[in-house]
Amino acid sequence: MKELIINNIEDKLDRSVPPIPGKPKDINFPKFFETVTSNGITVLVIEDRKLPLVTARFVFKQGAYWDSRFGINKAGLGSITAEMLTKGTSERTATMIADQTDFLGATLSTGADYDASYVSCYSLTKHFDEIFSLAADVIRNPMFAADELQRVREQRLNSLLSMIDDGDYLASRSYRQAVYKNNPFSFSVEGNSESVASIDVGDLKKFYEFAFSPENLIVAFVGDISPEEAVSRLESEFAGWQTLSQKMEFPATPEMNSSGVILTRKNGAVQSSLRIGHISIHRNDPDFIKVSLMNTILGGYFTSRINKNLREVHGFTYSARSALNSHRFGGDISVLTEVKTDITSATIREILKEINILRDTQPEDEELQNVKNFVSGNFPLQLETPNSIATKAINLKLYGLNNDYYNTYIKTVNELTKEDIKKAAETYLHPDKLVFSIAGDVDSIVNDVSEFGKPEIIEPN
Amino acid sequence: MTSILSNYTSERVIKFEEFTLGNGLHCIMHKDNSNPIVSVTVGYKVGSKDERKGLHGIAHLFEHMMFQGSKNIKKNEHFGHILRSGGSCNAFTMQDATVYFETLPSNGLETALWLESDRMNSLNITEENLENQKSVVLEEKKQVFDNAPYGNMFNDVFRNLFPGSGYEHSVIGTVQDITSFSVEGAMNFHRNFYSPSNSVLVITGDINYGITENLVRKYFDGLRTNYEISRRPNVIAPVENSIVEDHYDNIQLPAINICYQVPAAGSHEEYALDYFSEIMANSESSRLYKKFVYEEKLVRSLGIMNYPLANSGALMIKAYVNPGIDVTLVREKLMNEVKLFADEGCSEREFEKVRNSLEFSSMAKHLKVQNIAIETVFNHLNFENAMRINEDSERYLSVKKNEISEVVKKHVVDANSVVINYLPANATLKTNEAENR
Repeated sequence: MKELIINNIEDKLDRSVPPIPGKPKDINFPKFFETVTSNGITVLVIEDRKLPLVTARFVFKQGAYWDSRFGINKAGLGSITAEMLTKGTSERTATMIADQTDFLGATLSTGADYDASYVSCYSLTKHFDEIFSLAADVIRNPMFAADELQRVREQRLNSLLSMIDDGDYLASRSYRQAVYKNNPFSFSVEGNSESVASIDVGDLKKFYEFAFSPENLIVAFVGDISPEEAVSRLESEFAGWQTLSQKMEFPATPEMNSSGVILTRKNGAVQSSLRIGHISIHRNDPDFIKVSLMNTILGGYFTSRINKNLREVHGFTYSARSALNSHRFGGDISVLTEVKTDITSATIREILKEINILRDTQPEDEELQNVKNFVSGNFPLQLETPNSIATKAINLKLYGLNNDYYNTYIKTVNELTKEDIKKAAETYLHPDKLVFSIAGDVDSIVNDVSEFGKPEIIEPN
Repeated sequence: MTSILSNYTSERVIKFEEFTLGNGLHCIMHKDNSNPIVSVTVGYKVGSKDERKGLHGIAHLFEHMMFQGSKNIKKNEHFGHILRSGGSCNAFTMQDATVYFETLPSNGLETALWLESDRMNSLNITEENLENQKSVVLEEKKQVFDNAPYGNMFNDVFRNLFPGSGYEHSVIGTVQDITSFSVEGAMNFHRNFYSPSNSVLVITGDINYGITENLVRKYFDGLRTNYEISRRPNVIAPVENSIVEDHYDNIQLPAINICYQVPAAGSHEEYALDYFSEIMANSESSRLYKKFVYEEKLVRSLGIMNYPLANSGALMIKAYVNPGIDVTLVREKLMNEVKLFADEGCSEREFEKVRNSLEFSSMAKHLKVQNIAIETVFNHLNFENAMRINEDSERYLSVKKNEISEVVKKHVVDANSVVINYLPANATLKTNEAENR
């Protein structure tokens, strides 16, 4: 080690007192143009001329939650239908679609989650007309060819086969089945090996006809485009498109499960993957903001109680968090972490302790203020890219929120009290209803974890 | 076909102002007042390649310790201050550098500078915090590498591609070394490498140049400097023979990684090899995707990663092989495709595709001030040239179509390849299952 050479400059600055931050700048969600076309498409446009980039995001208000309406086990149907959109249209083969998109240096993506199916395109302004026409083609004229489906199905089956190597995936899959029981949320969006193998072209066509129609569609344009240009582009591609599908009634909202301990075997595991939780509120619940803030305190950010306890105090884990997953027709709240095998039970005891403390005592003023500052200060960071802005705008319509929701959101957060948080914890956290799902070295932990209930062992395949 | 390239212009120049303090700290600022957020990034020129034997993993463990408190900031309060201003922060350790960054509402700029200067100046490492973070890092090692399928593949590649050099060992290190780090060793590491003269501070976003420079001077001018950083030389030996290494793991599908040692970051070859990577893989219109995934269904997915380093580079062709398919056959076919490219090069359309995609992606990634900051950190640490962010397009455009195949012919050669195979521990069983399905 060489001798240090110290500067002659003497540091006279008093560093013991943190600087006082200036006044935060007011942030509002960008103003947007809104209209509905004659065939029922909801259009949102946010013009932003900063860079020559445009994105268009198409969201259809039906997703994987509806899979089971098409057969006893058709999990994965919505997601495969979306994936198949770019695998050939009446105008273009799958290869032509990929070639054209990539040659423009653009992106064209499709997918589904529980709540919706989507198609998204993003490019330089000078290529936008072309990529937008391509997006319109895959939405309006998909072929669902049998050989393409065969390929997508095989790829999906191989991915599913690979996923059983992942402890997190196993813990979450078993958790989902135990928490949601017979509700559609018990199935994964990507499906399972039996369901995927059973999906045929007829299923795709039925799902497509049901979900992909103008009345189900919300389109958001963000970037270097005016409302007039956007509406005109949309009209020229979608003017003649009509809604054919019958409305389908909403499946039932999931009911609260009973507690249970589920162990899923993962060969050679050197850690336990934990997911512990139960049913929670849906996205439109009036208490959503309150429960969301409560979750942030519990495990929703780095300085949360769960991460502080499990990582920074005990060194049990590299990461620990909690998540409130609220969808249109249901949701759940859970704690997720991966820990040393031999302290699996100790970890669960700490998690239970934190849940009980949140129910039994009000947070300190300082902790509540910190989390409010985090949530409100973080908002402008979420408005940096056209895609994140488009998603936020669409969510207003998808979840039936007011147009000024994001602007009143911050105000609502700041008005919440310590009593509100405790009340939310008492109402929405139920230690006696928790499902404890653990994937890992089952033989080493089975005795230990029986203190939380009689373990049920799942052998993955 | 209309030529898209005729319009190719860097429509937006990212501008910087720079200055250097008396203690050697270099500061680079980029002003963009369109969104009220600011990104503060500090890059230190120290990484896992600087670790001596017995201290493998210390650069990364040290990154954790930088969040464990300094003279005026308590354990976890770095996160605390940033998060309650609404910001986010994190850090990462690589072979050549360690980078710390926070992005936060712009009214918190001074807070970020106060935090970064305090831990550059007066890190406070206690026995208790060191032991706590050793446990966290050992769990990180399990979560990211040992308990994750194919988790150690990247480390296996580097061990074979760069023997004897600073790139041979993994960034995460070994359990034995991590367990044995002492408080004194950690403090020595800080005194040696965490010096203003060995770092760069980049501030991007909603700032005023004059005010920001004054704030930087306020917090960083008084910091001590180590002018004589002790560093191990990083000598890279070429790979002389081809190497094939088999690993049996708890996995369902085999994976192959075919790797080559290639020229260092910033070389003309690096840019040429980016063309090669994008023409061959990483999109559904690429050659290898069409042949191996789409037409012949040999692999589930594949990708090429061109990973430039300060003193060398790694080009990795990775494929996840479908059940029942012979791994050796896939490897031979992949290598044949590489050879075909070396012999025949690419088409005009393939060449243009890469240029178009670059034009879009460089514009899109620079929407985020944090991305600009991190790219600038590397441009300074590697080349002492912030303006490279704007010159990148020209560097790509300067690559000629026929040069790509020449570079491939010279550097992507079977005889100097490292092949890492990951095979299911019970391979026979899995093959049968696949046939029965």
